[in-house]
Amino acid sequence: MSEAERFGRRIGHLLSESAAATSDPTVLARLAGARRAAVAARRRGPFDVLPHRVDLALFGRALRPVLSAALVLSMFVAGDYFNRQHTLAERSEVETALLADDLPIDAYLDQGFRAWLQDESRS
Amino acid sequence: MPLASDSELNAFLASVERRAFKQAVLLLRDEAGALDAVQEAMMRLASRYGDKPSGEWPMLFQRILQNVVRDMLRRQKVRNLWVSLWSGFGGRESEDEAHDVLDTLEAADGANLRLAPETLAGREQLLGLIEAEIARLPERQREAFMMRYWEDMDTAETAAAMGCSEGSVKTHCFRATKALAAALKAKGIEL
Repeated sequence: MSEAERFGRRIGHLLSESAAATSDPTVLARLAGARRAAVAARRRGPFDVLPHRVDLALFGRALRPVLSAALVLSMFVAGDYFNRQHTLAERSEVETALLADDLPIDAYLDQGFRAWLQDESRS
Repeated sequence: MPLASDSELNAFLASVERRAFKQAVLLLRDEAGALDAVQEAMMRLASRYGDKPSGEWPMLFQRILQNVVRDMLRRQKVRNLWVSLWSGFGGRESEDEAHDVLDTLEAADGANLRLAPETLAGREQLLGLIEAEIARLPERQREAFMMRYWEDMDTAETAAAMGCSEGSVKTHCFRATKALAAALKAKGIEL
């Protein structure tokens, strides 16, 4: 280390000492105020906006209307589902009976067969 | 990496605020302006880099403070230019009123400057003398000297921060050191 550098470092050390000795209450108060304002204005990270502690009671109260609406909606969806299943089951029973019958399905479309059935039922 | 807490940021700012203030005072030669500069630097660090790891804060804060001080010095220069131009149009009276910051400093601590070492009251006076001598240095010399010897930046970092060559930094530092040593020696202070 050169003589000039040693001198410079010595001055730097003394300046640090001088800075640490700053004791003017007005200056210190202003610095503390600036520090508080800076911390308050601090930029937050992307996950820092989430609450650190979840208040379950508050959470429940806020969710109550949402839960009620979801319950009504799910009941409606379930009712619709069972209704549709019932209709399908009925249709399949009819179709099974028609297909399993000895009489071919085309017979019901035959006009002569229909007339013969009416005559038979009259006699 | 976990985000540093508000108390960590507060502790960091508390640890650097006095030094930053002193640094700004020496560069700006204006206490009120120095307080504004430190406040601005703190705000910028917190609002722009508050989400950075705390290990990066010292370097960032130092850079921000330097930029803030440099901006203020630029504005100060422009203001002084207009003041000097205006006073050039004025009469003799306004010429007398116009004064340089250096004159004010000289007048303010003129008594101290003539003190012999044995009459120095204490360390506080010694520090005051050193600060006054640093404040007398030309702006670029002062800036280079402080970055190199107070902020422990190497020549390359100082050159990058000042926007000049490493050779210029060395020259500024050499001249500043020489001037300070001579000024202090003239007062009987050997460091």
